[in-house]
Amino acid sequence: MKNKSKQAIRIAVLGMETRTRNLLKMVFDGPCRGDFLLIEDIQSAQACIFDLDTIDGMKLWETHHARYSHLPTIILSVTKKENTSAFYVRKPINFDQFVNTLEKIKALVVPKTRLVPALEEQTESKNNNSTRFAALHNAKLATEMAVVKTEENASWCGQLEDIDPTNPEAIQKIYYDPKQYLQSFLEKAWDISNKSQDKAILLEGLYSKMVIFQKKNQLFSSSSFEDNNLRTLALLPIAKNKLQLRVLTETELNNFIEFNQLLETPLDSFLWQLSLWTAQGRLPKGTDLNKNVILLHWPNFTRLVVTPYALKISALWMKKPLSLLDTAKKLEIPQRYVFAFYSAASAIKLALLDRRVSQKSLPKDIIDRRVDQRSLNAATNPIPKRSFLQRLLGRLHS
Amino acid sequence: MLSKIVEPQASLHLKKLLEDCDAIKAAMVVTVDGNLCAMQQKGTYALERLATMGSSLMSLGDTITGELKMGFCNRIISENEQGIVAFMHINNELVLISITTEKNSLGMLLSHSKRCAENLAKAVSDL
Amino acid sequence: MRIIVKEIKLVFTGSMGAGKTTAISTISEIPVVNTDVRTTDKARLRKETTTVALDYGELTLDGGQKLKLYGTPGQQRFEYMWPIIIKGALGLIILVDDAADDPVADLAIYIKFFKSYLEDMPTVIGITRTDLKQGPGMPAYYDYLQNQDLQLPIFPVDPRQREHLIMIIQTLAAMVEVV
Repeated sequence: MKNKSKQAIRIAVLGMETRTRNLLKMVFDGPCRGDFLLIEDIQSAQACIFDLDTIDGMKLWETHHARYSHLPTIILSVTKKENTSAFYVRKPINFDQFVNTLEKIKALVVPKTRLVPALEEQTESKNNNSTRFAALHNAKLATEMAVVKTEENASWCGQLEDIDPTNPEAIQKIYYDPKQYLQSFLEKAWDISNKSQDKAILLEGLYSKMVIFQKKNQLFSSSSFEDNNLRTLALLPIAKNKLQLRVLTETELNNFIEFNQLLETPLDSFLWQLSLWTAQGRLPKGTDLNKNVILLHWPNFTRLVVTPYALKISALWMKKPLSLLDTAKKLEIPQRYVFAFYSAASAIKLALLDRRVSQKSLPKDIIDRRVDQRSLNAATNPIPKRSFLQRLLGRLHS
Repeated sequence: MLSKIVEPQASLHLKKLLEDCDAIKAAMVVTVDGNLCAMQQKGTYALERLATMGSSLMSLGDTITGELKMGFCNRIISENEQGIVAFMHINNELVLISITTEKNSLGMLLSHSKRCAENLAKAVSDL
Repeated sequence: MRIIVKEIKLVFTGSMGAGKTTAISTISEIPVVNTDVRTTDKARLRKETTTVALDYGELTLDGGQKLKLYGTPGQQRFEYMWPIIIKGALGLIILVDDAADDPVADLAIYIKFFKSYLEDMPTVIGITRTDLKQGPGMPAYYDYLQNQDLQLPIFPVDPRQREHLIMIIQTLAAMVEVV
């Protein structure tokens, strides 16, 4: 729990009697090892703790909430009050619950103060471009911070060093075979569910019941997958002969869910995460390093795990299809981050290799024009009840 | 809809305002969220967009006086090269906008508009 | 002449009730300056108050740089405010209420209005209230953008969630960076 930055989070306490205040101070200085600092002045506070059970507690809370709604707040009270966005800790205070809540506050406050690292003051000439340039520079740092944050999740991308693409032995290290893992089984179920429109697919032979319904981006399972479970599942080679897929109609699906009390998860998030863990910064076997990657649309980053540099890679690919190696080179980032992102994006059919042409066989403008045709195609041939993704898939495979 | 409910009373009072004061060339009553309730004018001014602009301005006025802790914003006066526009609260939901093209008629504009706003406030309070 | 660039202006726009004021309140570190008034027309059924001029909030970055966060009024009759507010902005965030009657048409209004800005200004679209599952679903928005030949980031967002809004700002930053 030690705050590595050595900067304690400043917490103001409000409406609190001296005894409780002293108790909090003991917790802050003791078990929390100085991660938090009790202060009086709310103006300089990063969070606050509010005792609701004092005289006028509710009235004070309303005033406080109106003025300082931006501050993460813990409410201490004997009874839970609804309709507040604050964290609630029931009195008498349970130590573990209180410390857990402080951790949540810390998670909210720490990114806030670290959104962008210290910047040197910038001076630019006074014109639009200069303003833009300054923003670009600042923005870069903002993005880098996203990386720092996500670097903590390096487990998503493995530890592979960059490889020399001219070295055949090195190239073999960057591939894995999805067919050996659950990933491919899920992808296959995704494809079948997608093609059959209103059908769900039951995966039989797993230790847990699992059904996917691509049309509604749903995955139902009999166990909630904690990160550790899912990670194990992702890396466990599957016994293919024991696994089977069974098609369910929507009615059968509803009955099945109800009967088995299945839990729902967004399918894309699940497969994205599973693929990241399976890939470990590698690529599905057979992925051509020199062919351009087409990203169909921006990944849904508020619901998907954001891997290091994922935003920059997306911005680049949405602007212009580029090969995997060139992407790493252009963005000056480790190849494994590009590979990890591609593996996850291709698993949920968001990224595709431009199989029609080799990057080196046609002039760039022709390739660009062909890629641009995906939107033209979508605009001129609208097919009812078929998503753009399906239309493009149809076109690419034709 | 509030604008529909107050329209008859508002039209009546605006008509009287323009009759009582020669200097006032146009006047309108709008809701605080920018819906036009009633309008009277002695010309052909394009005033349609003034309803929304008036509500924005009045709200900004309230925000500014709130920031400065100066209480409620009674009126906003825009003195221009070719006339004066006054925006004032009738009540919490309605705003009166009055316009004169005579640069020296600020006093007349304000006194008549203020009286009109007060009378209208009483009239609509019973609705 | 040299000037010190210390402020970045971002604008939140989008349909009424999409959560612009909420989004700014969620990330602003100052009490938000807003110009909300009581709704007096049929929109009252959906929302008690509405913004009639602007919202304003701030977020200070390390190093003292300020993100100035502006929100436009959502209702179309206030569109005269939109170009006033967007002047000088370095990023645009369009929020659309997925639970509205025709959210894709709502998105189209803002895309059309800001079309001339989209080429130069990083823009992110946030679809709100998707949890109600009343909207057409994300593919409908992807299709609309593709038909418009636009490749803008579009995410479901909860304007009450700080992480979602930080993600949007970081996406704007990434877009500037790969220009």
